[in-house]
Amino acid sequence: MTTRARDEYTHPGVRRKRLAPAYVPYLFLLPALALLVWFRYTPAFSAVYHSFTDWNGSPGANFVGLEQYRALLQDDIFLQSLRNIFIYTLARTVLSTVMALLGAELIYNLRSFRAGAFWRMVFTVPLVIPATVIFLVWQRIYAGRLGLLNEVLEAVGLSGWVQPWIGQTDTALLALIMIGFPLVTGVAFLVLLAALQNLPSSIGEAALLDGCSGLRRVFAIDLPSIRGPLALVVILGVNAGLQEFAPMLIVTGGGGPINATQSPGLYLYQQAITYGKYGYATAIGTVLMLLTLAFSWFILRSRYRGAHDVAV
Amino acid sequence: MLIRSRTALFVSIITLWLGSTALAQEALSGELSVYLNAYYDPANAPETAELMRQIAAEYEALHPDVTIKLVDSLPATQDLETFLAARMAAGQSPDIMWQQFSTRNLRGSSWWVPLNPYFDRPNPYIAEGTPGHEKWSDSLPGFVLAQTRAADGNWYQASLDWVETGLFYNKTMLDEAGIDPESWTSWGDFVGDMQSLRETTGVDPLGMFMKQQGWSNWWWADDIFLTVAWADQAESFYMGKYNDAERPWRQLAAEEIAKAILDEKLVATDARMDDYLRMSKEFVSLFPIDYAGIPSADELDPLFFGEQVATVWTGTWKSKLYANSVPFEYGVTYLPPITAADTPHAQGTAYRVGGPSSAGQYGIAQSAAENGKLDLAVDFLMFLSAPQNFGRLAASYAGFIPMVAGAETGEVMGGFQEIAELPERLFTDPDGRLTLEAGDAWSQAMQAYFLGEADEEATKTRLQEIWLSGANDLCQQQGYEWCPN
Repeated sequence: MTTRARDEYTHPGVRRKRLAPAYVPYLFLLPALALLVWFRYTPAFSAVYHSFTDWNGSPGANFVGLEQYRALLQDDIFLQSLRNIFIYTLARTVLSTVMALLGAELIYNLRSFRAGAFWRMVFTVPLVIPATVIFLVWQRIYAGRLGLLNEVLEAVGLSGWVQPWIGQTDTALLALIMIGFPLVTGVAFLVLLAALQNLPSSIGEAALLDGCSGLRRVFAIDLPSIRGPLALVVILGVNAGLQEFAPMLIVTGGGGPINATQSPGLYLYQQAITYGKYGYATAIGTVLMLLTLAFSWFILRSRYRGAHDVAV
Repeated sequence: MLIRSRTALFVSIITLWLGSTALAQEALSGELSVYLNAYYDPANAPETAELMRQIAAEYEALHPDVTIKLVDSLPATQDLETFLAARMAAGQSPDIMWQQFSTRNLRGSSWWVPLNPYFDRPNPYIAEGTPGHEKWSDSLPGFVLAQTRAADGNWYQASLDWVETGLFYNKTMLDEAGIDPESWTSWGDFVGDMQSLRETTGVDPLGMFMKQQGWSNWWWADDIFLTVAWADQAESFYMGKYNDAERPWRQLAAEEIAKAILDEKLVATDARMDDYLRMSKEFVSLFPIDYAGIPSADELDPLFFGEQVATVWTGTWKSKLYANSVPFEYGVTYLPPITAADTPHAQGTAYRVGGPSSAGQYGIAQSAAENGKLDLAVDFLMFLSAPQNFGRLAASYAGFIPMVAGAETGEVMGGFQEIAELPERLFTDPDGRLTLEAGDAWSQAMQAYFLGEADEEATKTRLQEIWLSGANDLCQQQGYEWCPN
């Protein structure tokens, strides 16, 4: 078949009138592509380049090879920040995915449409609250004196449990992990609920006829059927977790105490903005980018391994 | 004839000079953006902000081609350094900008214009006969200029006001516990009273907090305890170039600290640091339980107002708020003298924690110079610093002590007169001692010590590492002639 023939016929026997030359769609994509390259790819490549220099934010920088990476490997605070962020990401991703799935299943199984719509709204409205406000509210909840959590503990006779939640190394990271509890709200909940609602009703009915209990259906039918959206939720969770720095900056005042809540993202920010060590900061950023890519790749690989819903 | 010609020539030159001066004044034009911290904070100090708008309008009336754009003070929750770093990188900083002097001096000429040549010029806005009219820097006290000079010898800011700190205390609570601050004659008295206050009332004695990065009011205590430990060695740390005959006792410059460390005169593993650590730990034991989790000094106010803490160590900038908001009788006192009975190196005095860390510290961004606004920025800064202008602002805000000659101090000093007469600290806050990074590392090492994650020996070793690394970094940045290769 000639090129002309391929342009004019998408299917044998079906003639399609050519509306515009083939390159026209690419012209429409060009502005978006240019913005993407300029604002996303260029800074990323620039960061990788600058990680091999001693750039201090001013024009001009000396090439120092792998010196910044060597320093990173010997930097105890950076290594601690990696440990912290792995714990934080794992715990937050597992908790938020499980809780979102739980919320989505409960609403999916509601028989009343009105009740479903009401609870869906209840779980999604908090999405519009700015994250900074949420962090400031939780900072108040965790405050040692006049903090809501300690006040409640005292009110129910658990004075022995009163603690400086974000003022000691034992509990500070846990306190950050639990911000937003019960963690049902958010994009994860919406994605999983939409995935469940898109499942053909015939599958559920067949399972019911076969005597499959609700819980067994969740594990035997729902979960395998929504592997794609689940993988997306986990990837988003891992990406957000690994790059997290706002709660460490706002709630625990810069990753404290004694770097118990330090994260690579916050450490990067401090090195660049506070100390003017942009070369070092870009090395941290490059490591973070590679970690995020690696985790995303592994999650995607595991999602497609043995999957029934896509052809690999 | 010759005489007449010479006279004519002289008159012509004078006329030309006056004309060119007038022309230079008239030639000022353009828009100048100005960030004045608390002196232009419409959200929190609307009356002062309105006054500042009026002062800017007066300047615009003198220079019709000039527009003064006042930039709102950032809210306390926003990081000013981030705000500034991003704008400096883009060359879009406000032309006249506030920054804490210690941080500003570390940024140096990469961000800020050295003001040395302008300080020597006359300030036409200061009345004849008033210091500063003939030489701008004469309007500022010598000790202010000395303390705000950068390690490279330049002045990057005009410091127009000053802050003092004191211990605001709940008079009712202390009376009920039988404590009279006037009776404190030593550190031991103070600690004993504060401990008994906690036992009798269950209230935390001291409203203080400690962050692992950036300023917290614990830094002030650290300055004092370090000063007490090394006060008797001050003479050997001083470098001639910083000496001032009028101030035989003065605060150390960063260069002097670095040199003392590298000369092994100032050593953190020295036995005298044992007392520093002991006193620091005693002091921290009087803080609220979550002192390491309190995010800012403003969070101490509700604790004090709600009688959750008996005292708060804060500064003159809170005077107005406290006068209007504290629901009980309160007073202002200070830490007692630290005597030889408390620690063998003590000199029997307290040290005041005050200084130029106030709202009236203004520098001119390099981007203003690059955009051809330097003359305008200098002129407006001179106008603002004139006592008839800055004095009004300071009186309206009533949170800082104006340092400009001819400006009235006002009510803000109530309760602080005696404190202001104490000798100054030998050591400034950790971030200004060597480098910002060394300052934060110091906070983290001390936090580890207070929270029981490091013992005394490990802490001293770590502090010495921080000092050595900070001194070497400062040497590398500034290239002092005495630095080791």
